[in-house]
Amino acid sequence: MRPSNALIQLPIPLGALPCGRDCVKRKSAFSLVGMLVRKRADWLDSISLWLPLGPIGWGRVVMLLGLMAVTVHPRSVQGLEPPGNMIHLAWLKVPGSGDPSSALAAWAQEIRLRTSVDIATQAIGIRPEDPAIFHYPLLYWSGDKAVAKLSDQAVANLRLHLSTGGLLVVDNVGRTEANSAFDTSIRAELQRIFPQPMQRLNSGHVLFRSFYRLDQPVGRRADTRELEGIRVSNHYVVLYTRNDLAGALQRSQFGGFALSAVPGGESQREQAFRLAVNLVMYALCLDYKDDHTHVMHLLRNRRGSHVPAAVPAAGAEE
Amino acid sequence: MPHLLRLDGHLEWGLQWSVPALLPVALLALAVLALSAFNLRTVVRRKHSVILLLLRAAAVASLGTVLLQPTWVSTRSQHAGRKVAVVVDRSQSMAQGTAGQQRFDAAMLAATDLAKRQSVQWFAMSDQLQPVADAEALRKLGPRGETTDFLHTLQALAEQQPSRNLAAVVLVSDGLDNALLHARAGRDHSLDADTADVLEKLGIPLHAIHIADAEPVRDVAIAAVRAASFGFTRTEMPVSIDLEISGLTKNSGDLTVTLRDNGQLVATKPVATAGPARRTLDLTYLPQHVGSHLLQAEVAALPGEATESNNRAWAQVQVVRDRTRVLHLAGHPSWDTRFLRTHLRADPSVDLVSFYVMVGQGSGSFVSAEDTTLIPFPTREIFEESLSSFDLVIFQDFPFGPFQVEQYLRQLQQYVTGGGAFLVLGGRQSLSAGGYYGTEIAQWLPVRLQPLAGEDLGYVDSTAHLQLTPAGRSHPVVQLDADADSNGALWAARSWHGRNTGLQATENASVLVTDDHGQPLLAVGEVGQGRSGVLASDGLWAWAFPDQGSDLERQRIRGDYHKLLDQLTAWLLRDPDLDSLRLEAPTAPIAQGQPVHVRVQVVTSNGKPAVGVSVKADLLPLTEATKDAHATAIWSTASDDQGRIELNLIPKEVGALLVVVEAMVDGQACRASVPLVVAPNQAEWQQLQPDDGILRSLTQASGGKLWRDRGPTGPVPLMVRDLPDLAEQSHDDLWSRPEVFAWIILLLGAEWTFRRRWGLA
Repeated sequence: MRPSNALIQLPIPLGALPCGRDCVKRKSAFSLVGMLVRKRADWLDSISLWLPLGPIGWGRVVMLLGLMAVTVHPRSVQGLEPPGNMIHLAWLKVPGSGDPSSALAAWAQEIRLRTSVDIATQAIGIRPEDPAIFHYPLLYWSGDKAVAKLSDQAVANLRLHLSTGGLLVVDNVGRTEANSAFDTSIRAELQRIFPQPMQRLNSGHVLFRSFYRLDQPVGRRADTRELEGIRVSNHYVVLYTRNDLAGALQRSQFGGFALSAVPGGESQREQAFRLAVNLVMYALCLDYKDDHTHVMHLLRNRRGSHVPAAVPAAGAEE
Repeated sequence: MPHLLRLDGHLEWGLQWSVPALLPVALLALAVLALSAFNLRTVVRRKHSVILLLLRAAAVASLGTVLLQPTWVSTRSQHAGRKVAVVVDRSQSMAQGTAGQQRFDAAMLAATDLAKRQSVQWFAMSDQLQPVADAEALRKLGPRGETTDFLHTLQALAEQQPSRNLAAVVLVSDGLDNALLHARAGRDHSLDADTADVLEKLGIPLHAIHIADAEPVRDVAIAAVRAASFGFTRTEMPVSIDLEISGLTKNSGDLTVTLRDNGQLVATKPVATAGPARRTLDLTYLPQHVGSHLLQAEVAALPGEATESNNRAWAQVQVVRDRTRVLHLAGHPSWDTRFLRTHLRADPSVDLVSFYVMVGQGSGSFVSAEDTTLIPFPTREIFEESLSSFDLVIFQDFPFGPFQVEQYLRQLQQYVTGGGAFLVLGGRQSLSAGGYYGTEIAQWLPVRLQPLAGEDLGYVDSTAHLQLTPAGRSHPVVQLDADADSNGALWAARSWHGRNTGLQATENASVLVTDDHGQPLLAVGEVGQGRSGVLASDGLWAWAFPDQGSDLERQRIRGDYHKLLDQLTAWLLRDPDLDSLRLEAPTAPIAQGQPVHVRVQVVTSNGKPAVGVSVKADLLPLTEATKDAHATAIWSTASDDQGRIELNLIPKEVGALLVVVEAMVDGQACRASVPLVVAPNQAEWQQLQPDDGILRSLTQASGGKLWRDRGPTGPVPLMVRDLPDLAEQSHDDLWSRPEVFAWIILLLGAEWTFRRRWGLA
């Protein structure tokens, strides 16, 4: 018997349709209508997250399947294939979480501008139960309200993902302050994935040096000066910011920033961008900047207080 | 004195019959003669009958005498306990000096002088005592003995003493014992209890004549090379060389001592001839490769040097790798770099030095250097100063063009051909897509690159389904399953996303994995002393992060990721565990003339014993020219059911040798080699300057005297004892001499001749 709160799970999440550099090239082959319909389907899919399965839900399934049939094209047929080796920012579609696609697109755009990382500018939304999360080692999970309880399958999938090489960035995107309901619920769900409590990253952690010298891990807000995370096998697999990182990155439809960074304004927003870059670099390079060569260089060009006082050995753990 | 000799002789009869037994024989003879006289009475001429009768009588008398077997017994008698044993050292060290003026000549002169004054018994000695008839016989033996063993000589004399009844022993030698006595005697030449017992058992005085040289012997010798028996790659280890110099003047010029590692020159050090005779040179040696290394120290021969056989010495070092230093250059951070880094960092024996290009070419205006932790790419430091310190260099999707690496490609080529390991991992910025075509890097890659043309980017962003090639089926790098069929099926079920295109295998390369269109995806090859490999995809990371399958299946795939990388790096690093031919040879020097026992273990690419494999084996002089030589001699024995072969090779030369073994295993030509030393027998050359220390100790302990060069001017003191005369008898069987037989034939023949001539019957 299906639980009453069971959610619709599409065999292929529309938001997970692969779209990398090649996809950009091939978009010219799509009809404008097809693209609009596809975006519409994605929007509907997001809404559907809140709908329990029932008479309305079944109607929605029929409607979505119809839309999928309309929007099917050669690229989408390969939806089960891995999306390639390009980096993708993938966000978890979980009830209670928002759709950070536009913020993640801006995030990816900044990564492309500032670094050599080969990253797709279009974010991917994916359900935590989906085996395809293993195509995206870097996951993002945001929300400003209490998140729904993850299914056991989602918990197991995420646990395997994160313990074998994945990284989950959790972002509390409460408008005026960190949302306590999200905070409470996300901690509960994370504890189901990894029983160990989250711990604060000290200011000397390599994340604060993975690309930028980072003073403060702020976002659109600067409520807290710290990051928290869960550590497995000598590195963090979950990183949690309560400063609405996505809010600092998000742009309006006219190109400007959608939300003001408070209280620091644009300099704070730049710090948020730098945190976003460092998070991706940490996911890709781990403790690379703790290597002996880098530490020696940083000591020679010492600036600020984030350089560790002692030089770790080349093989030092985080 | 010679007058002690006395000679006597007498006749004895061999036939010991009694008179009654002889009487019938005598009567028979007389009867024959009487009958003969009776028959001759009718002879007309009296003179003829008398002659014939005398001849017959002489013949009968001769036969009768022979029948009695007469024997002449000679007796040589002398006074016992008055003889001196003269023992002359005929070891090779006694050959020092020019022709006619060797130590041996001086020894013979002193010994013959002695023999003129006293009764002597002659003996030669080197490794054992050898009685000789006289001085001439001893001289013919010459100074050729390979050892000088005083203790063994004295033991043999002591055992013979009861029968010889000697009164003294005179040992004529340069004093350079190189056997047990030398080993037991300390620096002060004190004798041990065993030697004292031997002298006591000898019971007579031991005198000695020490033969010294007029001029010091001109020689330079490597007494020993001292190094730890184990070393680590790229870790300096001290090597000490003990040098002994003699007979050289300040004007003799400098000497040059060289140190070679498996035939290759690694260090040279000049040494001034002026200075102490014994000195130690301290050098450092930096082992580059894992395996058995033979260090040979050598000093060039001098004009007129006493011997060149002691101008070199050896030490064997087993070099292992304690840490593998890996230089990892990545063109950009990616999932492939992230999982490779995790893999390498998980191995505590890996010392990883990474440099990632973190800023894109158009990022400069968005990134301020002072805000970041970016460091300049240390191209010069890496390729000019540190390259040789790495065991493995990895280019991961690394376009070296923008980083001025191209000007250092020659250094990189020297690094690889000199024994380094080099791996290229593919991607959008690698191989042809990364501008490798037309650069020197193509010379040591196992694939030939194609130029980009038209819309060809040199990289395809699609899934490549994998196929093992025939070479891959038997190559240790890609053995993910012990069963060959399962391994092939496993690879056929796997894929990599993204692949570099336009690659062709070179002649010396082994393409192990292709895509389903036959395009090389994984290829490896030998480059001089080194090895290189290309994995033409940036999608290997997906094996470390599998997206499907049960937990067990995913675990298997993750394990295969690590196994493939481990095996690939191990092969590139020439890990002996992946060799199909593994040799075990003695690490201690082998005595000259002894066979060399070498054990060969033959294994297949998946580590199982290879049964029934025939190998070719050879034993070559180890030089830089022969270290890569092929085996020519054929050993017909095949490996047993454990994959083992026991080789017994007979070295034709001494010094540093190389055992080379070749075989076809799984269709692949395999070669293995191991160095060893056949030590020349140079005990006689360990010490060249005469030393009377041991002779002095021996003579003092036995109550004897020590003289130099020409020996004593008078008789040597004897242990005179009241002993009966000694007599020696010799028997000469007169009756069996051929002259006697001829005499009888002559008598009978004359009688017959005269009889016929005179017309008698």
